[in-house]
Amino acid sequence: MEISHEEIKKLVELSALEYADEDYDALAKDFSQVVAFVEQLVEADIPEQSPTARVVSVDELREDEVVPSMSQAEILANAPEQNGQAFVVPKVVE
Amino acid sequence: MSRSDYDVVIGLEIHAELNTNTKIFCGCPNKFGVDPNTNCCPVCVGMPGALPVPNKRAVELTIKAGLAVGSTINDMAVFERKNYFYPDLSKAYQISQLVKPICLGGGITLDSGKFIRLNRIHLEEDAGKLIHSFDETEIDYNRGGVPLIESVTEPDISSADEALEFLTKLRNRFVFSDVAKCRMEQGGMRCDVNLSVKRKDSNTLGTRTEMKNLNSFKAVARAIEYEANRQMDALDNGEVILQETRKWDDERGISFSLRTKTDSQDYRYFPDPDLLSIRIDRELVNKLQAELPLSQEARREKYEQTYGLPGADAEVLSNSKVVSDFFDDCVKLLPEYKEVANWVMTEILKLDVSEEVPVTPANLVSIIKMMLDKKITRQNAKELLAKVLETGEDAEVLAKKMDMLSSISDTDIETLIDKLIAENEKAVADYSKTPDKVTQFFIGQVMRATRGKADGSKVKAIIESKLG
Repeated sequence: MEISHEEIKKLVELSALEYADEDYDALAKDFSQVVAFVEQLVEADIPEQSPTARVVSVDELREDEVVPSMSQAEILANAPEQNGQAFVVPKVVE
Repeated sequence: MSRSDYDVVIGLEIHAELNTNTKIFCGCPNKFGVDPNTNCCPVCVGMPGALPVPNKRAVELTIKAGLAVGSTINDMAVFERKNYFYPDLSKAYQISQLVKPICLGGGITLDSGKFIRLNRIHLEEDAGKLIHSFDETEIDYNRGGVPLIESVTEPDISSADEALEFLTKLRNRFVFSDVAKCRMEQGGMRCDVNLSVKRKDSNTLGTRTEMKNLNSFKAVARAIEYEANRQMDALDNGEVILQETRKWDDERGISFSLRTKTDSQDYRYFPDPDLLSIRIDRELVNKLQAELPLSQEARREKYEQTYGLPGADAEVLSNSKVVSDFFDDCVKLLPEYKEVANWVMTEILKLDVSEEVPVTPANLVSIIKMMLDKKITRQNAKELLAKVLETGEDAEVLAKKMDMLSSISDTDIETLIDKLIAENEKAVADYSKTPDKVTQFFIGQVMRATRGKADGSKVKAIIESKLG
């Protein structure tokens, strides 16, 4: 399956990545190969049955019991920027 | 064209934070109003490799929410990833539900008889809170991962009034079934409005806009009025309505465009590979249905029909879940419905009962009982309640300590009054001129001598019979 430059452009935008125009040919080629690889599944002969899903029942879920959180200092420790209380990022207003 | 040539078509999306102890996918506390980033762990700040583990109670409460509004509960629920970049979500996706939400359908009937259909209720994680300052944005992830249910209506609402009635009724269903506290002022309940207008003679729906950031019922009503008028004006002027997200500015009373839908949103939902599908058995649904507390409407009816209370009392007592639960507990101990209702309405509702009633049902009932058994007077009963509220001690112990329990017979009171009359010749002489004043004087004397244990109305009658 051919992946077009338009599709690559959309994926790049949605993923918030930056690529130079000259990279697009290589990206399109790689993506086409990945999709072609996965498409082999379509050819597999699988008997008619409902899709299998890994299932858990409600009873098996986690009980609603508090476990200690990390300390403020610990949780902020790896942040590129923080002010002792909060993570700090460049101003974003939606 | 005139306003009456248009229909307004409204759908609501209502988010409510669930009443759990912990977050949806980790054991951090679900708690409002603490220091920033103190209820956080690697899961809820989205550190690489951290794995989500669903909270059983969050799933059960979502089922209860659905049962409270007549939804069908799906037998299988699936969590999906909704992908978008915004720093309130550190993982760059929100775990939500798209194809298999927990609840489908249901709805609420308005007083007019009109039924507002719900499309679904699904469970998802709340995002962190952003605080914008002049040149940067601070992030507090305490709210990130708090379990949130989103109730989505069909576009069945046609006015601000209908929207408000629906919201009020939905909130009451959730609050009375212990699903959510729905405190709008704390962001515990939030509402988005989807609105379009169409000409009455047309069958095609107009282009809709979505309004976000509506944090009070009043803001919802104002935003609906504003947006409906804006769209009708635009159509009158031959303009095109853009499908866009608008933000309501409550201070200025206007909405403004945030972004047009066409260029940005593609959430690329897919099943979250970190989470298993959840099987919801019929037995569990039946058990939760049986546990579901009575709705507000059912309580009001019970107070009126079964307890024989006046309609106005039934309305006041069922107005808040805290008060209604308290009243129910009291009458379980003492089925004197009207007397207990009066105490709750006059004495308890004076207090701050937004979170809880600051006296136990047992203590209030014990005070009322002592009064009904004539062990203490009505006036002393009220004083005793004040003391109980102040000290939190047991009412009977306090009554003894305050020497309120009456051991005074009617004869004792008569003897006392005779003695007082003999000692206060001047007052007796004034009786013909100022009977009320003199009577009050003697009642005061009796009360002082008995430390308030005498029955005021009885004392008054005896004084009047002796002096009159």
